[in-house]
Amino acid sequence: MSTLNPASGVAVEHTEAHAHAEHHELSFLRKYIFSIDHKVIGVQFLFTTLFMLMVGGSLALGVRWQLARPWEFMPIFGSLKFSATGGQISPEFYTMLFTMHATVMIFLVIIPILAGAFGNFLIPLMVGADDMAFPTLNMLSYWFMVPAIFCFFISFLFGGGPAAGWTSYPVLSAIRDAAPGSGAAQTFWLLGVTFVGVSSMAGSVNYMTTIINMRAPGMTLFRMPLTIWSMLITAILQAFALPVLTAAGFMLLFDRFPFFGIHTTFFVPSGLVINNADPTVGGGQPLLWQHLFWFYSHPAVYIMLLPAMGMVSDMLSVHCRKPIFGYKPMAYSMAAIAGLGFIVWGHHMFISGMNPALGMTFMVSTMMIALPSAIKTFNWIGTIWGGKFQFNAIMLNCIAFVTLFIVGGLSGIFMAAVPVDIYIHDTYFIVAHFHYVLFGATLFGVFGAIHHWFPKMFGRTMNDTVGKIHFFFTFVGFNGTFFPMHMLGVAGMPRRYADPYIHPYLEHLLPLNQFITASAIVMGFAQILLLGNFFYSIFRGSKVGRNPWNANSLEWSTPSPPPHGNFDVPPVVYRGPYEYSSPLVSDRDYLMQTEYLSPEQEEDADSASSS
Amino acid sequence: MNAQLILKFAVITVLLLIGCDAPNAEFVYSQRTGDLISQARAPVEDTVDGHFGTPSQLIAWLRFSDAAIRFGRLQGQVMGPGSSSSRFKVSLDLSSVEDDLTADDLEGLGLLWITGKYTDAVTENRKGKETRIDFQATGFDASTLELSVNAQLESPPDSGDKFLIVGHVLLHGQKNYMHHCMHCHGVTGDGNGPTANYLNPRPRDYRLGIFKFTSTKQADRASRDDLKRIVRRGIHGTYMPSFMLLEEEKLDSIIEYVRWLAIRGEFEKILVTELAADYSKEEFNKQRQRWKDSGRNPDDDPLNDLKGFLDEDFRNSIDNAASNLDRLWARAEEKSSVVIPSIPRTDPEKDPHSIARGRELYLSAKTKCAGCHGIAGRGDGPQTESVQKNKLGKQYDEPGLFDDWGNKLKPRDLTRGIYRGGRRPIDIYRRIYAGIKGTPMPAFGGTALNDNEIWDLVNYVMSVPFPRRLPTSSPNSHGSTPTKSASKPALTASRSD
Amino acid sequence: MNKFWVGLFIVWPIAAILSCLISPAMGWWFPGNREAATQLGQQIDNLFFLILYIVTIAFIATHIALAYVLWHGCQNTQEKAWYTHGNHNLEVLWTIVPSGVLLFIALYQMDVWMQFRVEAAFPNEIQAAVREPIAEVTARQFEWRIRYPGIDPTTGHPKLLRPKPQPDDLYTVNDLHVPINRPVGIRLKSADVQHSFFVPGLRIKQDAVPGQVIPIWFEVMREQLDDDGNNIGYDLTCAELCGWGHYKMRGRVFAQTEEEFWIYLKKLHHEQFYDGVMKPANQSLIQKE
Repeated sequence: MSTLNPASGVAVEHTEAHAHAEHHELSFLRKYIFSIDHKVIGVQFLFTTLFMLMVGGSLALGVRWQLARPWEFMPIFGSLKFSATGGQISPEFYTMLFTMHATVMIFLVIIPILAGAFGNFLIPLMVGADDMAFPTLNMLSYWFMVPAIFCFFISFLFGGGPAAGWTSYPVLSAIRDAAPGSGAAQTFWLLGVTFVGVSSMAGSVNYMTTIINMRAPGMTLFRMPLTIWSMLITAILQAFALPVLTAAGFMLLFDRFPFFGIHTTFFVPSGLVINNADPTVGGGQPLLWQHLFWFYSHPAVYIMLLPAMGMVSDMLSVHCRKPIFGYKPMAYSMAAIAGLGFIVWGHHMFISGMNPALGMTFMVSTMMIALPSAIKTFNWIGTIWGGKFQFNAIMLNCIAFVTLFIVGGLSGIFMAAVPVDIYIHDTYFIVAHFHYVLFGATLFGVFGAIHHWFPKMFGRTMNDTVGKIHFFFTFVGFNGTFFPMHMLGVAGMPRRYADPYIHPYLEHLLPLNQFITASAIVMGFAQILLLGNFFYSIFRGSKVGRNPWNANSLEWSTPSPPPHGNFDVPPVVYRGPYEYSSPLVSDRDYLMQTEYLSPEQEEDADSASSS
Repeated sequence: MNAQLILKFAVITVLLLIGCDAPNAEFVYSQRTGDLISQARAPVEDTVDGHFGTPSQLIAWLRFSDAAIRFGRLQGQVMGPGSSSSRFKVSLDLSSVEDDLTADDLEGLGLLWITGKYTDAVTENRKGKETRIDFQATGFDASTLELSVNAQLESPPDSGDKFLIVGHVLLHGQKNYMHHCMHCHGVTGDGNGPTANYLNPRPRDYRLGIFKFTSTKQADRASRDDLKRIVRRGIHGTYMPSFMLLEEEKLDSIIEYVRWLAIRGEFEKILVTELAADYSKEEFNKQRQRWKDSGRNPDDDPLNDLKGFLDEDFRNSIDNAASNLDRLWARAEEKSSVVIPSIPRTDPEKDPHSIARGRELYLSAKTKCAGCHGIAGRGDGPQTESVQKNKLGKQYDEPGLFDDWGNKLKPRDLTRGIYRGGRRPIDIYRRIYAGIKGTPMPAFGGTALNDNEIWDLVNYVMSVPFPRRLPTSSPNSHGSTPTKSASKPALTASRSD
Repeated sequence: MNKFWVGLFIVWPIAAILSCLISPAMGWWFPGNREAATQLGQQIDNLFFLILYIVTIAFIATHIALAYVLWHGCQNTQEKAWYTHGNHNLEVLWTIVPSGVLLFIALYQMDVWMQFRVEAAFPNEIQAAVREPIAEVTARQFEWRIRYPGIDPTTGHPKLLRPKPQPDDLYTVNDLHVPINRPVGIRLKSADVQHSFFVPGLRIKQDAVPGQVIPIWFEVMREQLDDDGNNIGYDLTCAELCGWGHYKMRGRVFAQTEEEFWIYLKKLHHEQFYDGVMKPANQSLIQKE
């Protein structure tokens, strides 16, 4: 801890500050490619995940096309791979489409963009550190994404891509002949997931250590922005849940191949004859995979949500010029979500054939996890209440976060109710629910965060008008795509069906599905606006200074973009990050965390406000 | 504008350009066709295409009777002129059509005039030659009852003129086939659709005209009932699923299309077989070499022989092939082709020795069942390990049993109780009586075994999955232990084959 | 411009609610727009609607609040924003009320679940039905293989279904016949990978797990008739990804009266033991109608 004389504003431990601010001339490679600077790594993650967002979105459009025009010519995919059949895709290609859509979106977009891009960029800046605790490990965490992407890409070349769903349930994924895509493709999928896991783990170690150990003097836990709270809690979730997935992944790999002469059958019962192969010699339990998988994947969905919640809280506070409503309840709620998140995994398995008594326990815990989310929603509305704002792209995306999160959270209550889940499990109702929380909430939050922190990352602003147009078409397209899926679910349309219309009770749903596809195409193409705006503004956006939003938290006290070492002078924190419209200052509506007010100044303000 | 933005737009444009152009599915030719020299291959391909068409333009060769292929014929009569020169009012006999006809259902179907002034209508083609007009229906308006055709008619046809619209069943069948069947069985019915690579056993290749599980005699083709049965019930133990609930009319149309694909394949096979003896690449090269070695006498040029054949005899070959196929496929529909036992099944409850007798027959030298199916019925008989000869007498490259499509087969494991062709007694009877077409499973009926013996074998086969259920009252006991010494010579006899 | 955006956030919830209201009329609702044909299904539907009403109230209330705060917030150009860190009483209120509602929903339906899935909680007649299932349904890639017990020649009624296949068992595929108006049990197995037995019209769903035999019980209350009065049965479909043919597993639960069910089994028996020669009257294996 360095002592800072507030009067002089000069750091006593001068040399230490300088040691980090010194630039050693780095090669282009070390500066921009293999950088250990958390900001560069954060931006690398951002670029990569935005690209993977387009890939994942294209796969989804393939899915939607098939559902709107079953067995007709499919653009791009049909021409490239199925010219022999006149462009008509095959059923196993369809299973690959939705498997890889989910895999890419979950492992290569949402988790890395929240933790890898924003976590990396913001954590040291917001806590007042000069970089992450382990910068080289941080660099590795990005570069482990590369073999992950490579593995997923290779899996397309062998057997056409994995086809057991992103949930990869054995026995389908365990027996190599059980399905197209259960061969080499599935193996590469497992390897890809393992690499992503390593990347996440490296990141979460960094985040926890940095947040716990490297906060600036004066920054107590309850003076951290909620973004940091969310990143800390997310990192803890990652650290505890991920090893289970990795273990499960290795168990499945060993089930598929006899490595070192060991041929396991953790998940494969005996006596099954699949594809006329020899009967399996097993003794394993398929349900074991589901328990292990969901033990990770349920916390994973909170990993995919909490950082966005934290960022939206911060953005709302900044743009409404108000403190966050109920800071401590917000922080505690996030912790409650994370804690409860570890004991609800069975709600993915109500119908799976596990002991039904477990269904009752998981139902109660799942119902209770709606509570902290509800508290947070009320607090967000409370934050906007009495605020003072303009509808810029950031506010719009954050408000969309709130409203769409309400829908997603409320639809979750249906599936938490076990008897109702009997009916809606594995139907489009579930698809609607998780797209509302993952896309409607998280991704809109991410869009807002991109607009909000872009100036800090690149020293320029994005075009707000284009941002609003992008928001409008995305919002309308999104709701047109996913709200009707609730109805499809109630109508009993199952998930993962290449052709639902051969079932008589689903035939009449074709027009609604076509409407959904049309909305999805609008929504997909609207993202071109975002990407165009993003990349254009990097080079041609209007330049800004340190604090274009007049915000309080520490990152806004640095230059835009911050130099290597972040802070000219190690910051000292005097208050929380939400002192907007504070009566302590009369000439402006923000009061930065690092701004020192002498006791006399505070007294003056107090008396002024009380008079 | 920066480079990345331009690149992004360029990539999207390229993808859209590639992506928006719909490729055409094509029929493929058999491998043996590909092995012919080009001068022989081209006429075969042209002939097949000329009589069967391409997937986007099917041709209904009316040479085939309805019993062989029901293309679908709708009779119609002109009722009056229409609203334009290519339309006229009609009344159609739709009694054979189950669902309401939509405008699209008639699109592209051939229209043949039976009476009236357009029966022999000709037109000049681009080369100035007179050709028959190929009338096609292009649409039907159910509200005004107007039919539109693909030609501008100088004068409307007279009221009362009769015509035939051909092919609605086939076209409908193609549409349903592409939805439900194509991804395994392939566009050409060659068992090589995109999914086929993952399936064991592979999907049926129709082009030999052979279907394994039929109710007809050994020399006969499969009947519609057979195909319907397979599609309805699936084939347990394979990836052929059951379409039990598929609407009857869709199922019928799919069957017609499958038969059409099979006949197309067989037709191609017949033509190729005639030519392959002399004009496969291998054979022709040998001939050509001999011709060269003997001094290139122009009278002996093998190509001249081919030309002569194509000019004079090829038409006959085509004719004969079509007639034979029509006859064979139509004959399979007749009752006389169906294998029906002369006596009811021996009731194993009433005649407890039936199963034991069946067991003896199973192990006997007369049937040699155990040679393939193994002593315990597990499909692991010694034949599976010896090198076999194919129908032409040529040896296979590796030991084991092969079907006519070249796939290595495992004889049925009778202990599992999964019977691909059906589990009814009559089904198993038919497997034994008429064999399984296209496989080494021989036909025993009418020659080697009489009906009593076949029923005994059926009873034995049906008992194999339930070894403890066999009656213990017979001294010649049950199941797995061969007791008669005659069974041993049976085994050694089969091994020496 | 502000009005436009506030308007968007008002119009969208209204559109959402409207689309829900018109859904039954458009057919985007429960299959056939009918109530479930089992009592369990009706309880599920009731629960669904209860949750729907609660959730709709919450949705409307939060969106009214949201619209209100948005409207006032964007209009505020003069004053500073309201400097408050929260309100303890409100926090308590909106912690206790939702938790009460959620706990209520959780506990209210416990017994429905238990009744359906926890064997110890099955009513007596259900326990009997589960002990004597009418069929074993084996899901396989990509169809439903159904095995009924054979018919007892002395009584003319089905025997007890045994776990192992018997020589006189009756087999069919994709078409499960069940009698109405009495509890029936089936045993669900899988021959290869996971599948799921999903009958939307009856609100039944249960995963078929390889290596397990799972009992399912239900009581169908009526036949499913089409507009012309023909019995068309309830659609059966697979609800767990099982491979490329997951969507192809089209089956049917054909509910019919008890008498028709016996007749069906007899027909099945006759068909299954058909030897190509015998006529219906000469079924030697059944001595009593």
